Amino acid sequence: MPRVVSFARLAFFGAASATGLWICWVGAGGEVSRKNPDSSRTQTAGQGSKREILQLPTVERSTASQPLTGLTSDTHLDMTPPRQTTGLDLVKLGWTYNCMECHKLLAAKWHYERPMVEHRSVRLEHGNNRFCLNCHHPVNRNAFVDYDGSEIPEPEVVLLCAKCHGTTYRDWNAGVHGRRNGHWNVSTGPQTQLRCIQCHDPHQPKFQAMKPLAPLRYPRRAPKPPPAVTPSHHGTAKS
Amino acid sequence: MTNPPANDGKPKTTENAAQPRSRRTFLKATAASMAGAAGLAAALKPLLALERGELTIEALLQKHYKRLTPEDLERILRKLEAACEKEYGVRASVRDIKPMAGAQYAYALNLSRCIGCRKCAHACLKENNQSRDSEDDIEMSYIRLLELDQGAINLETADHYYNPEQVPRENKYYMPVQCHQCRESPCTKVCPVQATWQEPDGVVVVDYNWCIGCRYCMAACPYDARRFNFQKPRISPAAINPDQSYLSNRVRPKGVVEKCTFCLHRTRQGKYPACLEVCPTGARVFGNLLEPSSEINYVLRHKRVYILKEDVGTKPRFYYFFEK
Amino acid sequence: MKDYVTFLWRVARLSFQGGWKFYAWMALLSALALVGLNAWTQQFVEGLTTTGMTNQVSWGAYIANFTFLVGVAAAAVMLVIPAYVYKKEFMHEVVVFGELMAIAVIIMCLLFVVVDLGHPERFHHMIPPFGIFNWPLSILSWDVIVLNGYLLLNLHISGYLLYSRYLGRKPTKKFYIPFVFISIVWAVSIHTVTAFLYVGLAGRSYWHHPLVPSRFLASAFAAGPALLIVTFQAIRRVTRYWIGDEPIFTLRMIMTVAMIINVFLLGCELFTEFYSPTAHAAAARYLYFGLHGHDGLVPWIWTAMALDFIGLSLLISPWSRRIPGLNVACVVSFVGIWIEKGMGLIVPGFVPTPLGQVVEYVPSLNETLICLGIWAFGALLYTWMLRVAIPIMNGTFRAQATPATAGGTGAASIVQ
Repeated sequence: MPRVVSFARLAFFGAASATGLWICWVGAGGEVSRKNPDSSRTQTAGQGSKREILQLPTVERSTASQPLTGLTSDTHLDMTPPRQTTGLDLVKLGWTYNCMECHKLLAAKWHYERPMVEHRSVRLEHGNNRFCLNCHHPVNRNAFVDYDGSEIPEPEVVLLCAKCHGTTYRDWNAGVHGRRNGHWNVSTGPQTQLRCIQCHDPHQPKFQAMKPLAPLRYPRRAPKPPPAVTPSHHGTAKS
Repeated sequence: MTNPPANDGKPKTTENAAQPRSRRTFLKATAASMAGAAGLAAALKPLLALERGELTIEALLQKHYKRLTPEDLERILRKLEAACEKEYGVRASVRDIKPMAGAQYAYALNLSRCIGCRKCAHACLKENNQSRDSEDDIEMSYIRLLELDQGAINLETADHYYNPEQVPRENKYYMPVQCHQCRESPCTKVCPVQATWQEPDGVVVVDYNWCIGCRYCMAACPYDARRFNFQKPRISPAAINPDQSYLSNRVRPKGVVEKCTFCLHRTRQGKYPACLEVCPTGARVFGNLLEPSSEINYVLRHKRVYILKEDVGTKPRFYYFFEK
Repeated sequence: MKDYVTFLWRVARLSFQGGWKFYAWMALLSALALVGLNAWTQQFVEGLTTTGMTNQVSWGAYIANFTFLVGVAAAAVMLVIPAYVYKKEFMHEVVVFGELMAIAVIIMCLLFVVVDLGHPERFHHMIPPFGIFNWPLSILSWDVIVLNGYLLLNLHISGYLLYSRYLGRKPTKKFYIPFVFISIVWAVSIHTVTAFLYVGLAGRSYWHHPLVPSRFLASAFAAGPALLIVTFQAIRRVTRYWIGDEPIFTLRMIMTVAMIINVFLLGCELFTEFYSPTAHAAAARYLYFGLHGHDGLVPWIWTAMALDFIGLSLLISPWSRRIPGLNVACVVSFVGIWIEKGMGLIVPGFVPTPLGQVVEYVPSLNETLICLGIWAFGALLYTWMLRVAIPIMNGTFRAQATPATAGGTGAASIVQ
């Protein structure tokens, strides 16, 4: 048995390295541009040079392919989507979005010991969930898994989240959780509503912190602006 | 005690005691009156700087919004459009959008979700054509963002100027405050000329052409929701939102009070207000109270709602609620 | 009627007669008033951005002076009550000066309101039928009524009494006595209503306090008589009208009682604000001790407190039984109350804002000039009224014998 496992491992690494080299070659050929060279997105700490070769370019999905928030006519308003999702790297390199294309080669397992090639940016920090198969369907990777092992199709991902987040799902359905934009009165125009994963990274669902926009200024005509930081706020200024 | 001298009894007039008129006194009087006139003219000189068209008989005779005939109103709207084009080179459409029948608006804000990013306060400026010294000057924004210490709702410790690298900060929470469109609105009550009133859909509006600028409403507001145009609004033409309405976001004259109208030019057309549209977390909930299935009614039914300064008795249409 | 026109003509001529001191004084006041007018036109053109006021502190020196002066105007009643209710003869010699002061001061009040407006040219929006007068809902509309009413009452009473005296006839009681009694109630009302302007605002806890109207009256009845005492001495010194010591010392008594009540109420207020550390006491903490590093008003309020206490101590001590001591007490109390009730009452109402923002306020130069101009104009007005009233009162300015034949009908038509 261990021999079989190590063989599978070797085979996998071989395939993965080949894919990686192919990707590098394509990249050098200029057919794929690195739109986002931000290396902080991929974890390189403690990894060898061989692994670096394996790094895949992360390419942001164009905003056009992002789901709509609100009305296109509101050009004066900041409609930045809450989460800039990055599509799968292989997909962007011309592979289809059919997960089974790869995964038919790779049997579902509860536990993977080694870092993967694709999905390396995935760090699972989502409550009690420790395994991919907590959410992903073990057989059909294009779907998610319901309580009874049945499939939840990808477009209905909200139902997956609803498995645990019932109250939130109820609120979302009522338009009270998450973003509902456009027309409040649907008889006058379109309304958009974002799904869970458009704001929350399902693997790290905590809403991302952000830089606040420019603060209020102390009025120009008033004397004596306040001390830069009020004493009570000193303690938490750094963190 | 001194003896009071007789204060009456001498029918001799003071004029008799005065010197007879002479050339000298005449010259003196002329000089004095000329000096006086010159002084008066000098004192009034700054009035020359008044812009043409700022003080017109027509403007002085314009009636209160509620008393305008449709024709009058139409004419005024076109004039406002012309003024906007002339002054800023922006072709605006200034409309008068009447309240929708069967609509009563209310707003709810999820305090557990707000991260204090200030996008709402900035979007308010972009939507409502407020005066600003620079594009990121939110003094006139209708929304104030408060950073509060967890463990209390103590506005007195609020930080209005917080500017960390990232929000939300540890041990802090954030509270945006804007006009609560109170049912018992102190601001409309105190206005001596009824330049501000509550519309049938619950929105408190200001007729900028009727306001006398006494700022009594600002003193009366418990939510610091009103702003005053201390000067002629400063706004760059590029920043002007051309979709304007008479009672909300048209470019204001100086010397009048303005306030949040729940973006009535949007909401009365069925759209969400600008602050809600940009809120990244979806902490803002807006809806029609008269529609039982609306989001706002859902909040009121299912959430624990907190009313800011409930003790003041204003009965706001703005609610805060909590999660978890 | 012809008599009345003659009277006005003579008054106009009389107004410009006087010694060089009179001219210098009037020229100084006119110049200051013109400087104020100039500053105001500047403000009118540029907007209230020329002031120190902000969205956070939206009322400032104008409204502070207004509030204080309404009290001074109301204090004329402290001459009327002894004269007409207690029938003190000696008060009748001076009561008209109090009423004239009320006129001048009310006009100052109205000016302070007008300069505070963002759109003074829209004043007619308040006057029906073109305008809309939000009465009885808006306390400001009540204030407009009581202030103008008080102005008219005093114009009528003092005008009638002076004109009768000019004509040398005894004033008909029914033409002024009822108004005198109305004016007593009315004087109280102007200051109460002005207090209600603030007390009615539940959102401003510093003002939303039942003691405020009582304190307003108490401080007004101290500050008003203080000014009258000093004015009476000025009148008896620089004019040919003798005012005895009785009115002055009657006023001293009134002032003492009012000052005791004022300081007592102040103590009550301080106790309430500071015994329990409520959120509502933030404004008081700002005023007395500073808040979050902002302490602009602290020196002022402690000066005011010190002046109030010095004034009170002088008033209750034998010191003030002599004129110099009394004068010190008057000046000290007047200034103390002016600070405490003007800036000390208005500005902390806005600090911190209802959302806890602490923004301070200091009047700008332009704003100060406008205030100064209005004070100068008030003094000008009062001096002018005294210039006319004193000769009438001491009999040197009378209807001449020649038109006396026609005087009967003429006077009657005026009286109507």
